[in-house]
Amino acid sequence: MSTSSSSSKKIVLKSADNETFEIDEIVALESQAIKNMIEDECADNVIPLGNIDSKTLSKIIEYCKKHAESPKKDDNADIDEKAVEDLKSFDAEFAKVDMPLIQDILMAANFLNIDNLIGLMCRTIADRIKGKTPEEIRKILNINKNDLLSPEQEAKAREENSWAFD
Amino acid sequence: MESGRRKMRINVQGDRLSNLPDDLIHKILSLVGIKLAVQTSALSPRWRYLWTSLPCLNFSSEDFRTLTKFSRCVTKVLSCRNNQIGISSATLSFSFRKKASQESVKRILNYTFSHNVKQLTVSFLPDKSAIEFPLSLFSSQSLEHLTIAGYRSASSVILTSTWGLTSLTTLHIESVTFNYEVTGIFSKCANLKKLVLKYCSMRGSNGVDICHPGLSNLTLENGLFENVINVVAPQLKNLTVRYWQGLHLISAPELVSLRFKDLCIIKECYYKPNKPDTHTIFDLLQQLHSVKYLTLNMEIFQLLSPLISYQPSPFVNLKSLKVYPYNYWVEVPETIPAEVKKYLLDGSPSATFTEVSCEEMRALENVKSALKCMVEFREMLEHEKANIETNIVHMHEQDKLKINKREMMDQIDSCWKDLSAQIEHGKSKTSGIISKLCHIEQLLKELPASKRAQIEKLFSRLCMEADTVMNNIIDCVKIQSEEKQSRLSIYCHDLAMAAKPSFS
Repeated sequence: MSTSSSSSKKIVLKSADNETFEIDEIVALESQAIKNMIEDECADNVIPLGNIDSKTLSKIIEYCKKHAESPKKDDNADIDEKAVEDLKSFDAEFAKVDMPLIQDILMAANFLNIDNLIGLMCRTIADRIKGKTPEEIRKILNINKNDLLSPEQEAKAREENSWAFD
Repeated sequence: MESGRRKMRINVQGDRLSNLPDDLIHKILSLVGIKLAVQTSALSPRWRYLWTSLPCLNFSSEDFRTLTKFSRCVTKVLSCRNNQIGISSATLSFSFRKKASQESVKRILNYTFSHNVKQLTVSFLPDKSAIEFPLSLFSSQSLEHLTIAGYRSASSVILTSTWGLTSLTTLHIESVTFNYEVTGIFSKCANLKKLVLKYCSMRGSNGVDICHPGLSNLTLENGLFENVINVVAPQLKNLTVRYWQGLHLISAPELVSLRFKDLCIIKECYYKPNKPDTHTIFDLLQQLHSVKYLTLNMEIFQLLSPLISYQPSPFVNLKSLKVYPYNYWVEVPETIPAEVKKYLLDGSPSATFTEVSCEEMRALENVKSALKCMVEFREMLEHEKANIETNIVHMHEQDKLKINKREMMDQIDSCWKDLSAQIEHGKSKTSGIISKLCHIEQLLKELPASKRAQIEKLFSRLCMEADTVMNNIIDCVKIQSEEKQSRLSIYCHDLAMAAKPSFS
């Protein structure tokens, strides 16, 4: 594949549920994983993402589009305060989704290696569990009921670290 | 895409997070503070020992009710943690006044330095008077990024003695006062590339030298230095100066971006005797041949105006010139002196010229304060919601005891009192919410078009929420008064009946 004009080049992503998304290459490059694939020329016309469903993928594309079009923080250029503010409020709005989707986005962002998005999702999760008890956190994170410590084990964990629980 | 090898499970029922690699969970844990991080050991087997390998430690004495508890936490964390794992970053938030706190802070710093910490953030909690903090606590060959932040005002933390940080590349110091003895503070950091000083002041010294062969970024904001700063930085690329007094000499032949905003020269300010003289600024501009991005405010234009007649422009590489208004709350906008504009732009015909209007600045300012108000408002609403819930729970818990006549009369008294207090309380809550709403509404009158839709959407959501919360407050008052009413009528009835003479 020739890599002549990169600005108008399109990349097609295919989700686990076989939905396809055509996006500008510049948007796809927000993902370090895709960027590496393109650079190594091992990306076909269609990149299958067998572990990301369409709901998660469309959300991720929304994020990458916004971040790709806003000016990059270049040390040499004049920092555009307006753009920085704008991106901040976009991020804040973007993160207002339910926990399962946040976790899906985090997993997918980790897979696609989108650093900013990983950071945003981690901050969001951290903000939601701050100041909560372990019981509440289990609920917030949907920790599987079959996957808990036995009452004895839990008592031991609390005993060992009793100083953190008062 | 390697989907075979690296395939992850999707549609896992419920908890997806536990399937994530340790480093991501660590990332989350490093953001919540060490206390909660340790509490997650009780979540599930997956989380049982995750905290012990955390490479980022985040201590805040605020999370603990007493200093003794904070010290115990420090001891426990440092001894239970897996010693083999290095520390990539540490965040410390504390007050340095009490001995117990000082000991803990020293232990944490020693531990992190012996574990080759790369990034360290130290912030001070508010304290009644200034805290002296010795920089000699910092001694590390590995530390690359350091942030030291006092609490809001420069007078809260005084840095004393000095340090040796040979690997340091980024140094960010905010809201602290330097003692006179630390004049050479920056010279101890030979590899510095980026230096930020915000809201700092320096006590009686002969000035500070910032002389670093490798410094490429320098930001000086809101400085209250009694004496001048000399900057000699042959590699300096970006220089930002805002509200800064006493910047004396700058030698920076490689400068690419210069942002000179809000110098506080004309405007009345506390440090008038030290105002930099206009020739200094002119001389500075004269030597900056390589600047590509220049941001100035109108004040500098006006300052330069009498100095410039037909001098050739020193800027031959300029790509953009941006001018901010000086005082954007005034009605009559300032005009740009033509000769200064010509002087700045003549050497680079292709440079773009942007003039930021007063309206634009005001609108931006409004966006900032509106967003801030909305965050506060949301917190206020959340707080009210929680209050209402506990109020209602609390109410149901009160049960009626068998009491004697005297207590009954007291109860009647207190019932009436409570009733009026509750009504007063409800009134003040709702009017508090309404006045906050009106304030935000006022701010939204002048907004940039690009932001309007988004902010109004946020605000309308908040309005709906405020409506619900106010309704709940009113309902709560109603429930409480009904409850009080029924209680009153029972007591009154009981008293009346008890008083009735019995004819048996």
